[in-house]
Amino acid sequence: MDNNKRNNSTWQNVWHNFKKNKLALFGLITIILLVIMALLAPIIAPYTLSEMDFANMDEGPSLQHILGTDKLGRDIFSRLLYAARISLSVGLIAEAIALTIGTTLGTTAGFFAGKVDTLIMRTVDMFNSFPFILLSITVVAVIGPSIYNVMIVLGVLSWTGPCRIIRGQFLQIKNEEFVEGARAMGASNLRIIFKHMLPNSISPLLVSATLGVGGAIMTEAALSYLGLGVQPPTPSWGNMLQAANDLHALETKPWLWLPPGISILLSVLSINFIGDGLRDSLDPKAQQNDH
Amino acid sequence: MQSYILRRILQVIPVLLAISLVIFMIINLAPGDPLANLKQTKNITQEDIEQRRETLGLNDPLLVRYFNWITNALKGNFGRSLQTGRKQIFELIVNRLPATLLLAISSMIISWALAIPIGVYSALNQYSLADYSITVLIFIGLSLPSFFFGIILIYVFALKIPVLPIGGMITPGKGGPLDIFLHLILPAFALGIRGIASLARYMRSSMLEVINEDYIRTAKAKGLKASIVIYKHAFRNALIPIITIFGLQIPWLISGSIITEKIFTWPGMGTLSINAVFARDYPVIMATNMFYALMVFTGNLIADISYVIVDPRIRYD
Repeated sequence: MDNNKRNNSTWQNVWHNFKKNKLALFGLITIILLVIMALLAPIIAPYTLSEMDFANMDEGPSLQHILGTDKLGRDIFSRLLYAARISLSVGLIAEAIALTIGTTLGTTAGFFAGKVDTLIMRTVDMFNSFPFILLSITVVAVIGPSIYNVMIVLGVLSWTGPCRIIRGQFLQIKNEEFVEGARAMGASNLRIIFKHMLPNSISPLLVSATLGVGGAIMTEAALSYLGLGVQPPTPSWGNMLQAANDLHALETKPWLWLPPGISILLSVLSINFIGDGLRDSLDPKAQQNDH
Repeated sequence: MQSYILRRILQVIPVLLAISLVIFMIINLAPGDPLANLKQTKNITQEDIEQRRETLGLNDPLLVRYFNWITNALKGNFGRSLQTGRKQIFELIVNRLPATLLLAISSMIISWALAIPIGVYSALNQYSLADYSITVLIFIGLSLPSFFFGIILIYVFALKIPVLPIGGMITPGKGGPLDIFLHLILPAFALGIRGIASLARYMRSSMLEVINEDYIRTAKAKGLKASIVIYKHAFRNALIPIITIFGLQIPWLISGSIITEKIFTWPGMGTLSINAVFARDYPVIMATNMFYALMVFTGNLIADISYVIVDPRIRYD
């Protein structure tokens, strides 16, 4: 009970600091709005995904189509909303995969140390020497481009960050009194890890996970832009940007490629603001010289 | 120090071998047939294809093929491209390397040249309007995918206000250093944006940390001119931790350059490797992945070595 209360006040403290950071608050509100718009896409979107307006094909913004239409007469604004669902969920799921692998291996390495640790850290070295983008492109091209494959590839290639963080935290705290205490009380390894060590390592992990979602959204966009990610007709912000591949469309029809690009920028920017705000509000030291 | 570097290089050999094995396995589990194109060609019979498969060693077990590949690769022989057949892949890569290095080094220079003054200025004017604007711009720089920034640059500076050329490295029929320089500007900025943003951010916080140190207060207290305190005492010390970013920048530059090259059809290794992926040109994919892995490793090694040089408290014995 007592422990629970203390935890609550810690998080209240974090929130108290977080909301003082205007940029972080802006980021949080933007992301919440984006998520709501993505979830409500079928209700908000004025047109369905595949609806073609043959009278207004390839037209710029108008009253009927506020962001214009593509060359098949599909409404850009509606596609943008549906694409938000895809792009945001690829980011979230890829990061969730990375976190699961990273936390498991980082916990193992930090807790058991010794040979297991060496082996895991060598694997981390190996993954860190992979040319990330080229390898993702290679793997996606080999196993076939699809939304699920992009999630898996991005997740499997980005677990090293969380892994190093958790390992570092564990090495730092494993000889501290509360861990010794739990051990002396006869707690099992699993209990020590889950009840005592992981909760005390959560702050840096939370920051890295937040920033990781932004990174995954950017990489998904890059892969889909190259045609190796989410496949049309399913829209994602990245594959909508493919419209810019055609120099003529790039020059004369900015409504085709500017909205998805700005959506990527806005969502990644908001996530980075949130991550940065979290870092500052979780770490009292950082507040002195950053705003 | 020397023994540390030597040990790191020795350590990386198994890591590179493991990377090569993993990439080799991934590529060879691919369902696509590298000789699929031949099947469509007339005058080529099934026997011809089988014979070619045999001479290329495609019928051997996977581990045998890996062993053959790695023994040749260690001698610098990465085989021949399936597309352009004639040329040795090693030669292809060596031909493409200067363009990639030119692009990467240029954007590195741009990012350092811009980021350091921006970071210092921002720190010296902490909490001013300029500082807030720079902070927001830095965040935008970090959140802007380099390919989207590249597209915007092309739209603005090559299409709407056509002042700079795009596409490749030289204008057909022209050439010369000036022509290459003009072609270089947009891709170098597109690739450099992330570096500018993150370096400026590090520089700002490093500078802020230093100007709150005791020795700066001492320098001020003994009546030194503000400019001397800032440039001789603060700036130099703030720069030290930033040096280590240099090595970390190499992996970012490499990942970024692949897609930047593709957008600007820059004739470097990135374009070579993406085209190879699309053409399922496995020997080239294999070789470029290995080259990039080697470059990433070198970057990480430079970063670690610079930590040791910069901060004598770190020991790697």
